[in-house]
Parts: sequence; structure tokens; C-alpha cells
Amino acid sequence: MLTREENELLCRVGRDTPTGQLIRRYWIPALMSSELAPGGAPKRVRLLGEDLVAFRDTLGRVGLLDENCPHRGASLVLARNEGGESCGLRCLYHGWKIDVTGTVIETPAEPEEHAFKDRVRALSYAVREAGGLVWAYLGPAADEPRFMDFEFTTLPAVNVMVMKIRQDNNYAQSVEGVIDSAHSNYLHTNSIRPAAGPDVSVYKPDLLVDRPSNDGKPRIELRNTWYGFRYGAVRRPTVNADKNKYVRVTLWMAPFYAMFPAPVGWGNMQAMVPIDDEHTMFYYMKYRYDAPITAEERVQHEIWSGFQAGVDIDADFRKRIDRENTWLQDRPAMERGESYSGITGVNNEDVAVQESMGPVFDRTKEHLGTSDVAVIRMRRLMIDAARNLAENGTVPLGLDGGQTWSVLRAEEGTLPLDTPWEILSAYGDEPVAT
Amino acid sequence: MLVYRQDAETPSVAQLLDDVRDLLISARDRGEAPAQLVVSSHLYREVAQAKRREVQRGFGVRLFGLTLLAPDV
Repeated sequence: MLTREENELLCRVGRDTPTGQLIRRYWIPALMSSELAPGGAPKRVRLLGEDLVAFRDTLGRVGLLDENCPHRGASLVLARNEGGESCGLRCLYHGWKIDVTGTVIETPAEPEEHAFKDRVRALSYAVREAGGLVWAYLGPAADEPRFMDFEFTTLPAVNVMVMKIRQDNNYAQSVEGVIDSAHSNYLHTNSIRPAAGPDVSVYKPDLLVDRPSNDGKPRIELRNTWYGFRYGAVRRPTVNADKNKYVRVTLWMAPFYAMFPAPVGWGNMQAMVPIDDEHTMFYYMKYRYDAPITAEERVQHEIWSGFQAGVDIDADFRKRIDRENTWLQDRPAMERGESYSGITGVNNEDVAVQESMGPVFDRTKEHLGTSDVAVIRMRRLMIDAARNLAENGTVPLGLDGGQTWSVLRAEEGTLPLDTPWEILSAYGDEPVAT
Repeated sequence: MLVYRQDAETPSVAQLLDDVRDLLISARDRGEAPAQLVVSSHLYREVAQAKRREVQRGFGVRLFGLTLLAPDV
């Protein structure tokens, strides 16, 4: 649980809130690169409660500007995306033209000799592209941090797939879902089944998962790190439980990124980007370290997650399932024993329970158990970081050193009982402290 | 019984939960089964205020199933 004040501190992400200011200090995904075509339609993007417009000019450069034209406020989502001598968005209202940096190039209704355009700028934010995403930095320009070079951003584009959906809940509920190992034994019973024999999870051709454990009470052991924390969820394996343990490592990287184990040779990463206090854009990156992902595999993963474009989600990444239709839960299938949750798609199961908590969950109502250690620690670290930044200007978690995110991976394995779980997912000089 | 000795002057409930969880796990690893947790009056009031609906219904003030006690409450 949290007090009402702590809950508000954790959840509110507007420009003038402590956690809003904290998150703005990080590079965050704004949209997928594929959403912007050169000279194509500008796209409305809402991040941390701010209404922005993203566009790709005719030279291929991306800009992220305040949605409202700096002249009289017309939306630049309506603007013409023009090339020519100088590229930029031309506001429909009075023809002001603005480039990707926010520089006002033309103010055609104003006398040229007044050089008005030289004295006005559109609010613009730093952007860069990597890993199939357009990343944005919304914080103070002087404090722009080094880029968060997660491994998937370093791989060939063909090795990476990105899925994206809009969730109708606060970002913290989504983060808490992905860092919670215990729920997979219950919520995802449809897809994750105990099996004897393998040392690690085996993903069948239909992506159903055989897991080498039926232990629904994992012991969670957590270690703080420079980027947030990593934990080992330690379970009794289905085979040789008197000699071995089955461990799944999950990483939480401030402010809202997480990694968890994937099939051998693959990586899994999720980002829960606040659109505003009550909505989150969920990004799911799957990547293969050493080979391209085939077209067939991409479709399979979309189906498994329940995120098929045109089927489960529309062009604006809104889902077919929602609270109004009870996430299309199939009660007859549950009663027939064909489905545990009645909800199709592993990630749709997560979406349903996270949205069902309400747009901003009131954590004064909770009764946490000891297995909720990762959720408890994440909240403490985020609340402390937001307060420390606001009160002392303390550099946020993960941004105060020269480490690289690119070495981080989440592993799983079956280990001898006396082997420390920390040997999984520990990298070089990564400091380890409790 | 567990006793929470705080380092900070006014620790948050978020910090309390994080610290007490570790204390509880350590106690259980020693074979103990604590049922009560002693905290400062400040923290007791913070938790009681957050849980006032339950307190009003006679549920008591609890975290991790431990009944909270405070020196002067």
C-alpha cells in the first residue's frame, strides 16, 4: 500500500509534478519510426500530459513540436508538410512554416522587414531514432543525458520487432505488472505450462510455453543496481528439486523499462510510457540477438500477444478489448475448462487485469504480501528519486554514471541449489548492493 | 514481534514496506513467525489514516498481516 500522498506522487506525471519532472529527465519512446513517412501527415503524440506533434520532413528528419502553432495556436496536426528550399510544417491558419528544430522559417502575413520570424520559436524537443523507435527527451536542454542504448537499439532492424498498444490505465499499474513474476503462474495459465525435463522455458511452434516448474510461490531475491534493480524469482523445478532450483531474472530500469526472460537467443523488453495520468502507451520489443525475425514469426508473436494490427488493434493502437466489453472475456470457455482467464492473448490478459484496477489505482486499498517485493522496491525508488530531484536536484537513477544499458539481458536457468542466482544476468562491473 | 528502527526522520510508508519486508523474510528464515510490528507513532498514524475505512470497521492496522503497534498510540 501507499498513502494517498505517495500514490499521487507516484502516479501523477504532468509537467509540474515531481514524477513528471523525473520522467522528463530520461529518453523515452515517442512513437515508432514507421509511423512517420517523409513528407507525410504529421501525427498527434501525447506524452506525459503534453500534446505534441511529430513529423518527418521531406529530407527524412524527425521533429517533435508543441501541437499548437506558436502564432495563434492552431493545431499543427492539420499542417501541410512541405519540402522545397526549406522543409517544415506550414500551419494552415496563417501560413507560418516551422522546421524540425522549431525554428520559424516563414511568417508570410508579417512584413519581412520586421524579421518577426527571428524572434519567435516553436517549442521543440530533442529526438533521435534507434531500434525502430523515435525517442524524445522532454527535460531541460542543459541536462540532456546520454542515450539509453538498450541492446535492441544496437541490433540490425530486421532482428527487432516492436508492438504497441494504448492502455487505459496509469503507467505504474503496467510497470508493476511486468516486474511481478508470481502472476505468471496464475493469470497466464493458458499459455505457460509446467513441464518436466527442460532447464529453461521451451517455446513451442505455437508459442505456448513449457516451463520447468510448477511452483506458484517463487521466492523473490532482489538486488539494487545502477539502473534500478534486478531480481531472481527462485522456484522449485519439476525435476530434481532436491538438487536444483529454477531461476527467472527480471530487470527494472528506471523509470518504466523492464526486461524478462525470452526464448533462447531472444530478448524481451517492455516500456510503459505515460501518455497522461490515466493512459499509457505500452511498447513491447522482441529481438533476436544473432538472426533476423521472419515474417511468419512476427505474425506468430502478434497473435500470441493478442496485438495483431487490424484485428486486435486499430491504426491508432487502440484495442478492441476494453472495460466496456469486459475485455471480451469468454466465460463459457472458462466453464468448459478450455481457458483459465477467458481472455485471448498473453498480453491481453495483462492489459485486462491492469485496466480493471481503474484508471489510477488507489493503493491505500492494498494488502501487499512478501512476494510483492519488486513492486514495493520500485515504488520506493521512484518516490525517492522524484523527491530527491525536486528537493535537491539529485541526478535521477541510472543517469549519474557512464554505464551502458546495452549489456543488460534478463536470463533464466536451472542452477544447482548452492549456486548464487546472481550469476544470471550479472555483467562485468555491475555493482550489487541490497 | 518485529521492531522497525527507522534511519530517516520521517520515512515514507513506501520505505517502511520495503524495509519491513526484508525484516520479515529474515525472521521467517530463522524459523520465527512474528505477528506484530512496532513502528513509530508517526508511521502508525500514516498507515492508520490510509486504512481508515478498515480501521473504522474494526479490522485493525496491519501490514503484511502484521498488527502494527506504536509506543503511545
